[in-house]
Amino acid sequence: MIYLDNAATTMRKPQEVVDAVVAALGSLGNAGRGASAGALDASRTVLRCREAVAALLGCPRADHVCFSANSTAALNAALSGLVGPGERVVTTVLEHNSVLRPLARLADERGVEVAYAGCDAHGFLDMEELERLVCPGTRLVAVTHGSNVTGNLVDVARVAEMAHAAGALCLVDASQTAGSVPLDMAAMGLDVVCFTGHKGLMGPQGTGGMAVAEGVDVRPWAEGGSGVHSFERRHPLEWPTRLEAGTLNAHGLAGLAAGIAFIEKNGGPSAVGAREHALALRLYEGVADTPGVTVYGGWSVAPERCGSIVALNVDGLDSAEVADALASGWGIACRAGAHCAPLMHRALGTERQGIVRLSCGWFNTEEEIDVAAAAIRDIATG
Amino acid sequence: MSCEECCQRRGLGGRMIPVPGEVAAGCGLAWKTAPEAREELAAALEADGVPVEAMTVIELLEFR
Repeated sequence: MIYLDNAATTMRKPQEVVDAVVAALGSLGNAGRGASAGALDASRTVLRCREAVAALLGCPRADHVCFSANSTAALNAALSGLVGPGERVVTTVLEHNSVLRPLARLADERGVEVAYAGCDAHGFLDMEELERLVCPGTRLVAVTHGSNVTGNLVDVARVAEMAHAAGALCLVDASQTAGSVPLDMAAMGLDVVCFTGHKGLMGPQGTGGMAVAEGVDVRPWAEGGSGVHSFERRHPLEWPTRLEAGTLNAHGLAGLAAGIAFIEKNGGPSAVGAREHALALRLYEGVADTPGVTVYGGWSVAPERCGSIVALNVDGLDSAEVADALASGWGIACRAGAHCAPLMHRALGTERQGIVRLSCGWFNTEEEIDVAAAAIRDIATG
Repeated sequence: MSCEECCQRRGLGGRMIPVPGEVAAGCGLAWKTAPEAREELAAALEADGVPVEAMTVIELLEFR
């Protein structure tokens, strides 16, 4: 199989990740629940992962890294914990449903006002429109760091400047970029960064979380077991416990820490991202001039602002049909359809056709990319 | 666990234990060490930015 669905999950993991999870499954107790050897080992494992995430994201305080099951859970918790009744949020048409739907719920249940900044013909965020929408009185600007459809990147440092100038907070969805695009929360002025562990960070599914800048108050979303202050009626407010109700996935976090160590060993997010970007650029160049192939995103105008995704369609073919042809004819795994990003597809005019998304990862080879490019050319030319 | 990490890095003695009921009702963890280590421990934790909820001197059984 040629695996080109790394934007969905990095199916091929470093062996170190597999080994770390297996070892953890055989040795860890419940983190924060007692002082037995196994429980303490689990707590140490979680702490090491917290410190690794904090260092990777430029979060000055490791105890402000709070783990959850995935990015969706973190985004729900962050949005719910930051935005109160009647407040205003500005977001973008680039967002995944993990941002759009929690905001729709807040609009329905708390009367939250949500405004959406659009994009240009290449799918790049319209920063001028965003700036107009981020007016005084805005509570939060929620923006992705990279579109999960096109791979286009967003200048989140500039978004944070806009947000802060209006007195708002800046939340970044780094689901598609953590591990492959450098992030420095402190230097960029980001207030909350939500991440998932199983994509660019190369960890197991079931891991993710958020990093929160000091002084930003995210109210607890879930309440329950905390391992501390058991007789208090409500969930403790201390960090990171306030956002970690229930047993943590210490086994998964052992793997996530190993994934981050693998990234650091290979030069960090900039080096890993550069390799993945080069593979995607090679794929783009292999198909861009093919008659009948439409490539979405910014590759033709600003490849340096693109991630590691090549999003395309072939003539009027349904994207699912093309994805199936790639799978059955060449053993290529990719993703068709809407990718849980309805507004992005509406903006690109691909609601009915969907998009064929090919996303490169660290373990792909140039040979695999060339096979994929040739396959797409074959499908397009019949 | 940051407390443990700080102490181990600096070679300060002690270990994690279930928080004694005399210190806090419910559950949780505490760092157990000798009373005379208090000042050195407090300075180390402060230097490393490890938050301290409370420091208490109590008598605990030591079986081995």
